Amino acid sequence: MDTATSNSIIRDLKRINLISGKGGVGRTTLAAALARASAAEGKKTLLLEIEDDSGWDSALAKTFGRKHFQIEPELLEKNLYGISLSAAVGQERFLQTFLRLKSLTDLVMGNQGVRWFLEGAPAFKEMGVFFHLLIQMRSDFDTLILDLPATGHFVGLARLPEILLKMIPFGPIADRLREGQKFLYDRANSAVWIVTLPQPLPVSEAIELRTVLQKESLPFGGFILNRAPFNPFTEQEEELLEGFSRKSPAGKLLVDLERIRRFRESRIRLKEALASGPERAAFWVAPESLRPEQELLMSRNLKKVEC
Amino acid sequence: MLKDALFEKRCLMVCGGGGVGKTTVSASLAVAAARVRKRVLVVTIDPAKRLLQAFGFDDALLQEGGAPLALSGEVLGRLGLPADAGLSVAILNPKWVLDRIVTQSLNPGQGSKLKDTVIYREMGQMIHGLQEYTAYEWVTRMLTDDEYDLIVLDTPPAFHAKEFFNAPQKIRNLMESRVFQIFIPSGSSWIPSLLTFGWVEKLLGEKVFRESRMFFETFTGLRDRIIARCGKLAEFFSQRDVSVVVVGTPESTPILELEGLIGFLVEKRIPIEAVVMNQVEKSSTFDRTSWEATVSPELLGKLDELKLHQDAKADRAFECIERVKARHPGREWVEFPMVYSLDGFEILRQNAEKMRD
Repeated sequence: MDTATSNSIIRDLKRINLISGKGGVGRTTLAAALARASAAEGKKTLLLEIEDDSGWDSALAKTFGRKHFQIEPELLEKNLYGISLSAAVGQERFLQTFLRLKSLTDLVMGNQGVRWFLEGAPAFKEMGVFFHLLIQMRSDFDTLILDLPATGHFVGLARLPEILLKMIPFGPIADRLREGQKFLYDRANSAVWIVTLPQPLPVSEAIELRTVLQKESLPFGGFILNRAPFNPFTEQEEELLEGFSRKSPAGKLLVDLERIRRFRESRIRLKEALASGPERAAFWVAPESLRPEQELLMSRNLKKVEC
Repeated sequence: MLKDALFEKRCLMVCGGGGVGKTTVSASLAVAAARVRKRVLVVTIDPAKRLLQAFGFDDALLQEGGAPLALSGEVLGRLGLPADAGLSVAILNPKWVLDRIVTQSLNPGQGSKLKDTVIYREMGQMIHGLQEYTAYEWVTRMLTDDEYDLIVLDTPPAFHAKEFFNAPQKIRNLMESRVFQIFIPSGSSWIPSLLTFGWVEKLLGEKVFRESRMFFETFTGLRDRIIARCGKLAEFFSQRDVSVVVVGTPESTPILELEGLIGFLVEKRIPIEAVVMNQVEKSSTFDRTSWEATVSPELLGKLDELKLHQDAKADRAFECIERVKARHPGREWVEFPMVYSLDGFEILRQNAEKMRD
């Protein structure tokens, strides 16, 4: 089992961790690996994802041999639970606390007008997801790991309270929005992690996303640079080889070496971005694996980059 | 054949999961098409403006309203195109399209009332499918205006690639949903509406209720137009000159999404022109003999190790592609290699070159 070492990324995780990143960067795999590592340390861990109404199987649930997660925390492995956050569940739970009586909630949810409104009106879907998340944040889990969708919806979700509070400054909805906001904006207990790849564009996007977090005052946990290439060389050897291949008749680097160079550049750029930021943040590197089953052990292979 | 499509079609939609390189593929297709067509436009909704960067444009050139930008002779040259080739690039901002619809459909007073609501201002983020809908609206207009021979559309990143195709129906459902009826009671249903009002107002508070009401009241003016347009979009893909290019990468999870997308398109009878396999790992270019004289045996050993590693990746990609090809016989497959050492223009030029074969 993974044991706690000073080098484990688990030390850098907060209670609430939002794992973000563009499509194809390996975000879901990392979220699953982090959750497993956290559970292996004896922490009661909840792995969350946002429901996807397109009817496709969930890639995250698939990692645990399931098609989908349930709408209540479900035991996946020792200490590890999974849940799918659902808009409808969130809306209903909220109404229940507001109206107190289950029968009354059923009556209101049964009202065509209210149902149409909740299904159709803009932002109410996200609000439901947000309430469902809030319930989990209040729970007694030691660690929460949320695999965020790849699209811009993420900043949408984090910004949701702010937007809605403009419209709904008082009342029961506003109270819950503020409560959720307090969880997410609390630097001691929450962090957004940005997963990226060792290529120029993904690195630029990661740095941009970090700027957005800063602007929104969301706590930033750090970068996770995924799929670091296999590299048997020392730094001196790398330099030597680059010098040689530049002088070679083709005038081009070996494809294989070029990948290593890109990784080095990515690491430097991310390090610089961290150095120029106001807050202390971590930087971890995950190696590429040739076989998918190796990815389950990924968290053990994560290496911290000293900044 | 994709080659023929670049000659004949009027619109190619480039679709695929996140991170598979839709933007690069779109740009490559446009470059290939610009060899044979006079007026080619490649358009994206990606807010990261990667398409502009791919063609060497500065973000600052992007004008309010999103007018297409024509590539300069110098850039065309670097892409291997003649100086008089007609290739333009545009970035679509859903907000501009929506503003235009509002201006065209509502009187100025109502229009500005609608634009003032928080809901409208934040709408792009709040309404699922809106981005996609505006892309259809925009492409349809460009095709009607006939300013371009071919439009290559780089579809926006989504939870799942197929959301793009479901967007018109989603928007239509929203427009036809009864939420409008809550706020706009029609003659006979005023009693249930009144009853609902109380609950909704109590739940939301007076301010949001007022805002929502104003939004839905004014938005009703746009509703009919949007519903009508969504209906037309259902026929969009039955046009003979529109088809889809599906993009994927040869890795286990992206392949699943790619196959799901192909299945979905087949089921919806949306024509697939070709499947592009992007970022395909190729065998190592390491040539031992040319290095033997220059480096130490120890370093040579490490280079061998690196070569083995690269070749294993290439083999894995090859097997992955062969397996998926076997499952989808009769489709055209195009491979774009994973490249690390080329500049952006060179990648596009070489990809475009591949499509001539």
